[in-house]
Amino acid sequence: MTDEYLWDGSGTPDAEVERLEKLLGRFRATAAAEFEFPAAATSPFRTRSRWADWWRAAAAFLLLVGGIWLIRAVTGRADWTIASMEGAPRIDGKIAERNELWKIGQWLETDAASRVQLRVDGLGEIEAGPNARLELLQASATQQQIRLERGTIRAAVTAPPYVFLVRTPGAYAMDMGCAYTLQVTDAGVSILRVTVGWVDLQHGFRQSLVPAGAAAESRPGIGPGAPYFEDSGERFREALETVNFDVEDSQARAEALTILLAEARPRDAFTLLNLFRRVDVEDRGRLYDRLAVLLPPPAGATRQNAVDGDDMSAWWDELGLGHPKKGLKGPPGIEE
Amino acid sequence: MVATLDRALLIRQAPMPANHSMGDFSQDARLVQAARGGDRAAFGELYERYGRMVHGVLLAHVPYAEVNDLLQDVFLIALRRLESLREPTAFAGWLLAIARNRANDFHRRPRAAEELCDIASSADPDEQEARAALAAIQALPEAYRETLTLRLVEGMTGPEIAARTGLTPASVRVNLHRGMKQLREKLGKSANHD
Repeated sequence: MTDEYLWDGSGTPDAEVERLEKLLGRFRATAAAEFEFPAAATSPFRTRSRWADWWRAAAAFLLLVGGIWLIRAVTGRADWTIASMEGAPRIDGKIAERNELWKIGQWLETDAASRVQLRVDGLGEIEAGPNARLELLQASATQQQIRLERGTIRAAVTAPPYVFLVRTPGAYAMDMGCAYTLQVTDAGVSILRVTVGWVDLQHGFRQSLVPAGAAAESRPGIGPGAPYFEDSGERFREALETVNFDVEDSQARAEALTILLAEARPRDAFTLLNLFRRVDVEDRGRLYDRLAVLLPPPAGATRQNAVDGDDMSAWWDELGLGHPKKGLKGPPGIEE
Repeated sequence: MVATLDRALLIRQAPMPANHSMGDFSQDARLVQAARGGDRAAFGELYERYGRMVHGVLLAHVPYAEVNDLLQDVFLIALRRLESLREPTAFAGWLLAIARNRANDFHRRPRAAEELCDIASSADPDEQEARAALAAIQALPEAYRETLTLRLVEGMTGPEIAARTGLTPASVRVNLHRGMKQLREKLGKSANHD
């Protein structure tokens, strides 16, 4: 008897080794096991290296905003209050009243004819539209977190980045100082549309930073797809949906990528950059080729580096989208 | 679980695995650099590359029921300490050191007796036999248990084990051969005893 089967599985199978393999296989790491990123107020990741310069440049601004916010958080209340309402929204099944507090663990629901506007000192304003269902999960000075099970909310947030989190079936939406709408369909698909500033969507290994004017979908079990500008073409967006979410069919994804690349405009380079970690490795080359046509490659960038999965953060400077906090000049109002 | 991560862990930087290909090194280094820059998907690729290895190494030391939590701990520690990894090409060895350290921590803390052993509560004879075989592997000398777990449980081949752990192929072959010999003896005695 030789050990070749034990060594590399070649040669005549050793009956005992084969039996143990079969027996012990039940303890094997499962493919479904996935690392759970901590749902902390701040990510253990530092921000993109190229963005570090922007962070430093905006540090004074953030410190000022943070200081004001801290003072308000310490001296004021962090309660969620119903500022105004239409129809008959309910808290834990009972009809809510104006100025009523919404407390941790309580469910807030609106029907087809009702909506509610919530205010939190130091955080901003959140409006829940008709047929929404949401739960308050956390209400501390450093983190405010709600779960949006269905319906649409509009948020106008003045708190520092990552204080306000919305948990949806497909992703965490982490505010970076912005105004946005977030809709969750009955199927659990969430659609984020950012009007001011940036929102950071996260689920597992997937992350999408969504700037003003852009949108992104998230799906349960998959997470956020690559974001896109809302003025992109219909065929582009249809193809993107397949590339983002048709995780089981690599051929369909490859075909959709062909359409997506053909339809991409220079402005859509933003979406293409977000796709490098989402497409199959063998598709990275043609993704790079199209990107390099739409956006001048930064110094030192090469096709091979992109195919190898190198850090693409140098490209972000070329997009000219600015700092995640740059668009926020002051407390934005909720758009009607 | 997270609270335990705040304790200061003294993890020495592990030496570079001797049998890693240069391609693996450079790919690891690229992924580490990208992950340091905030690329979650890059960290995801590191998890995909090394999750099975860490799972196997942990299983060689701790009860099966604890492995998934510890696996999460190991990668969470790695994520938080990625900045402190001086040489990105040494990621594999560094990660292994974290895994072994977490397994040691597990045994240092006082625990209920039932947490320390995988007691077969199932009436399924295959399940009982599998747990007995796993217990026999976990009772082998240190040098053999990790190699055999990676081979028999995780389904890695000898060359893969060598490439991932940094052991030389010759060492892995010897560990597999001697470990399997001792395992046969243990299981044989157990069968005779039954």
